[in-house]
Amino acid sequence: MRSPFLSSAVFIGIVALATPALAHAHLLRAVPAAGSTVKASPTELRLKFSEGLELAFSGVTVTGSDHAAIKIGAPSLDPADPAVLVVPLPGDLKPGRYAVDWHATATDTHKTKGRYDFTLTP
Amino acid sequence: MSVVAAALGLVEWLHVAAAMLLFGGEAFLAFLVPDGLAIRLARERRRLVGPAAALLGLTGFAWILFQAGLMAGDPAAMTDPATLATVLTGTAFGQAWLVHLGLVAILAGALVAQARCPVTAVLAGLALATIGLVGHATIHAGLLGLAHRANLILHLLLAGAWLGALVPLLGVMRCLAEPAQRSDAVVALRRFSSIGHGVVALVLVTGALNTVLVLGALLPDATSPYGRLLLGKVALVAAMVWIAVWNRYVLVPNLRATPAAAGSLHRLTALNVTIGGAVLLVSVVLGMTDPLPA
Repeated sequence: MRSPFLSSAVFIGIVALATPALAHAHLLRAVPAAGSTVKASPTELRLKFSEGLELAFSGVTVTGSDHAAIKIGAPSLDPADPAVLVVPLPGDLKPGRYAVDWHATATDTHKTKGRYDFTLTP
Repeated sequence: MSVVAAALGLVEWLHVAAAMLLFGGEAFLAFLVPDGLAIRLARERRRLVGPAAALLGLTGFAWILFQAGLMAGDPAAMTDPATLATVLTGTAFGQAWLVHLGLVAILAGALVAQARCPVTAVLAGLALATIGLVGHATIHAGLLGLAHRANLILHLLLAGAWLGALVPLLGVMRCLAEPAQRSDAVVALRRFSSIGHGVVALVLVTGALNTVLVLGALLPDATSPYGRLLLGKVALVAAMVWIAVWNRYVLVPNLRATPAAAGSLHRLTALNVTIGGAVLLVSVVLGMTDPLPA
C-alpha cells in the first residue's frame, strides 16, 4: 500500500465494519426461551450462540424436576447458521420444569458452559 | 486456569517463539546480510537451528494433545485416539493444524538438509503464518473473517521478522569488532535499520487492527482481564520500540567515535530479545482469555 491515504482509508473501513466479537461462545437466546413457560411439548431445542460451534465438542443435557435425564436425539448445527445448536427431543415431555445444561466449544477452541430452564404447563 | 490450560499456554509460547526465531533469523540471513558474513553466521547458528526445529515439532505435536484435553474437558482425552482423531479431522482447529504440522515437517527436513537460507526462510514463514489460522481470528465469518486471518498472519510474520532477526543481529554486532568483517557487518546493520522502521511500524498497525477486530474498539477496557493484559503488552512493546529507537539514533551514530557504544548496543539488543519473549507470553495468554466475558 503506497499511499498513506489508501492505507488509512482501509484501516478506518475495517474499524467501521468491525463488530465486537465475543470470541468465546456465549448463549444469546434459546427456543424454548430461558425462563419461559410453554404450552406444548417442544420437539427440539434451539440454542443460538455468539460464535460458530465445534459440534463434536458441544452438547446439552436436559433434566426434569425429578433430576432424571431426559432422552435427547443427536445434536446438530443449523446448516444455515453454525452458531445454532439443534437438539431433537424425541419423546413427549410431561408437564413440569426442565433444566438445560449446555457446553459449547467455539471454532476458536474456547469452551463455555451454562444452564437455563423452561417450564411446560399445558 | 487448569493445569492443562497452563500447559497448553507454555506449549503455545515455545512453539510461536521457535517459529519466529527460525523465520526472522533465516530471513535476516537470506535477504539482509552480505553473503560472506551470512555463511559465517549461518555456521554459528547451526547449534541454535537444530534445537529450535526440534522444539517446533515437539510443541506442535503437544499442542494437539493439550488442545484435545481442553476441548473434551477431560485430561484423559489427551491419550484417547478417538478424541484425537475427532479433534484433527472434525474441527476447524484440527484441519488447520494438520496443514501447519505438514509445513513444520517440510521446514525441519529443509533445515536438516541444510537448504539455502532463502528456502528455509520461506518455509519458516509458511509455518509461522499458518499459526494464524487458529484461535481468535476464526471468530468472524465471511470477508471480515478473511481480513482478520490475513491481518493476524501479517502481524505474526512482521513480529517474527523483527524478533527473530535480533538473534543473528547480535552476531553481526560482535563482528563489528573484527576488521575483516566490519564492512559487511555495517552493511547488514544499515539494511536492518532501514527495513526495520517499516516492519516495526506495520507490527504496531496490524496489532492495533487485531485489537479492533477482536474487541470492536481500539482502546482496551482496563477493568477486564483481557484489557489489562493488553495494556501490559502495549507497555512492553513500547519499551521495545524505545530501545530500538535509542539503538538506532543514539548508539549507532556513535559507534565510530565511542567504542563503548558497541557494547551497549549488544546489551540493549539482547534485552529487547528478552522483552520480546515476554511479549509473546502475554500474547499467548491473551489468545486464551475471553475478550468480553459475559
